[in-house]
Amino acid sequence: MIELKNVSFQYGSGKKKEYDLKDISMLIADGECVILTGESGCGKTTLTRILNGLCPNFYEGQLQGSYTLNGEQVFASKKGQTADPEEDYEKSVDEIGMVVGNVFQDPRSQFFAINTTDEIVLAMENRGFARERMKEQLGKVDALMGIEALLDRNLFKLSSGEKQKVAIASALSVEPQVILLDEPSANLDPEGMKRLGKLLGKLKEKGYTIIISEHRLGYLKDVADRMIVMRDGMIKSEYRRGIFYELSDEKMTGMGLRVLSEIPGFEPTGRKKGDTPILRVEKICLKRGKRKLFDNLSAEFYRGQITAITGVNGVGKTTFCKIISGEIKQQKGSVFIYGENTPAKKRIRDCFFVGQDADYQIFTPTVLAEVTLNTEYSADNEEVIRMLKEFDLWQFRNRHPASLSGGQKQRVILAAALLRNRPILILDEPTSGLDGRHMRIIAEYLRRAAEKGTCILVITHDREFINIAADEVLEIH
Amino acid sequence: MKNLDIRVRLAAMLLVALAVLFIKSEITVYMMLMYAVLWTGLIVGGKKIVLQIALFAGLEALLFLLKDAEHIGNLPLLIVYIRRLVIAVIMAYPVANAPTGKLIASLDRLKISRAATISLAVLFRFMPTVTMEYVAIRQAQRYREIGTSVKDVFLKLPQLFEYTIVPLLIRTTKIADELTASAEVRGMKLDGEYNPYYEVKMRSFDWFAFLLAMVITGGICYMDHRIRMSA
Repeated sequence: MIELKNVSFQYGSGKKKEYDLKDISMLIADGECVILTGESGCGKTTLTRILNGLCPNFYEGQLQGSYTLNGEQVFASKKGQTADPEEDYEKSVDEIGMVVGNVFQDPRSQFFAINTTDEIVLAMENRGFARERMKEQLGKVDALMGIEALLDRNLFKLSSGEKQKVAIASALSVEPQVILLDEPSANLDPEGMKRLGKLLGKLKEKGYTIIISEHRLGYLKDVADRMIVMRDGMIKSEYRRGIFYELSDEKMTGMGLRVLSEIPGFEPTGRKKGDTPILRVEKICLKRGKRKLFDNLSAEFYRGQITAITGVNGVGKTTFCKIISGEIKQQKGSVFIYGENTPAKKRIRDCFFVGQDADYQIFTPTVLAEVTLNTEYSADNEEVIRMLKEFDLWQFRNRHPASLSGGQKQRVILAAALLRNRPILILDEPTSGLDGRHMRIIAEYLRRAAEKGTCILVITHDREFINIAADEVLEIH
Repeated sequence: MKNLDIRVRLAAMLLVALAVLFIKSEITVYMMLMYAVLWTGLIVGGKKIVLQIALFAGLEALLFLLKDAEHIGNLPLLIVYIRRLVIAVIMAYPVANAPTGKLIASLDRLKISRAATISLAVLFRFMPTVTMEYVAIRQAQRYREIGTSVKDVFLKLPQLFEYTIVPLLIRTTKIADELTASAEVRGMKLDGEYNPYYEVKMRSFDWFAFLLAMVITGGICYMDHRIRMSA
């Protein structure tokens, strides 16, 4: 059982007025499956860090309240005082880690090893398990999850779903009682999400307590017992099973969350500017090793149109878009821009690719410099000022873009792209890990860009986003 | 060769890294390069080191172009040593490519301190990550017309350096932070109990490869010595 009493936490040395987590009290029973949800920045991740001990042992800060895990005290601060990690903390991160297994959001920064087996046994090696016991545990995890085909493989070559499976296997290897997952569906396609939901159901049946910080909730319908909604570092509301899946779309949208109801099938809107496609892909072929990625793939895209590019993980959605932008050369077929057969080298001049991770795409020390970098515009140009205001970035114009939130960074890159007047804009998973409110904001900004006549291609698995933003869907098989 | 003990790979790498610093004659540098390419190619396959070989050839060409140039100070000497470093980097591939668990287990058997073992494992874990991050940053730069032509690279080198290093640092710092947190919750610490999953044993083939590496590196060094004596 997990019990938090009046837990408050603030990152840093305590100079801020507001706590990042305020007066959290909660009780999670053994074998229960609890969803933590809420808008980005509401404190979900901080709460998970309290539960696994990383706050304040790794992420330093001021902590108050008490935390009991399986009847044993993890920490308890003196009344009205901040907990001292030396005196008031009774369990180390390592000790908590034997009870609470962790699956972090980004597999790239979670995996310590390059090889899958190394990654799965790592926690056992670090605890000095005997070799025989490690083999036995590995067998148990395999029996539970069916990971045999994943053993001894290069982690960097796995699909997102496979990486997620390895991360869960690694967390289960030391037989913890609690599994803590931070946005596990962020990089998964709908099939991967269904499989993850089934696996979590299986773990629940085995008696594991499961805590999931998540935005997309549909796949947890059969597993979750309770949903805790957080806002501004506090628990705003709690809903029991049988109640929370009855919550209306309006109610969820009002809370800034994603809807819980079944997402209806996509209906094309027919919105576009003009009858001649600005971009035409004709009979594209590409082979990777022995695998045929595209065989005579053709498609048309128009100005003012937002097209969602969908398909299962690893099908080649990003590769297809990189062929369009000229980063990758097709082996056969042609790409026509404005009706002209355009070679790969020249296509890049007409395209702008906004990658999934904004940090790659930030180069200068201020937002103003970032959006005007290598453009014809000076910082005081009216068009620049208008664009920054339109994208709600004017107040941040002198800030370092890296200091902004994920959504704000994405808007900086979007504004930079639009100021370059490229007719084709491609975005890779722009709503991955976004809450309902921010997902809708991105949809709104893309719509504005499309209104200006830009042809937009969005690589996405997010069906809720597709229904709100897209005019057309191209599914790659 | 693919199952060659990590300690042998490490020993061969250290021997070559030391040797390339001291050998003087050009012919022995080429011999060392050939040995490094063969050794690494047999263990991890030739595809992984194509870039390094190309870099060596590029530096060689640069040296040739600069041979009569004036007012360039010690630049050729610097290139000579960077070129030799490339040979050591080629030899590092079989170590970097080893599964992290086996690498840690091997270093543990060598009684190397836990701090050094973890640092080395993290270093090799970061090699593919930094490469991927760098590629992603360069791709993003193309859409912003940063360093897209050779002329641009040379004329705006400091700016290109800044525009590459800053995002690379932001990304790697973030990844390093998250990786440390992930390792900590899984019990990784300097003073803790540790038992490797892999049993590390030197087989007769490993001993043979170790002797072979010693003989080849020693032989090239001896040849270099003879050449210098006869000159």
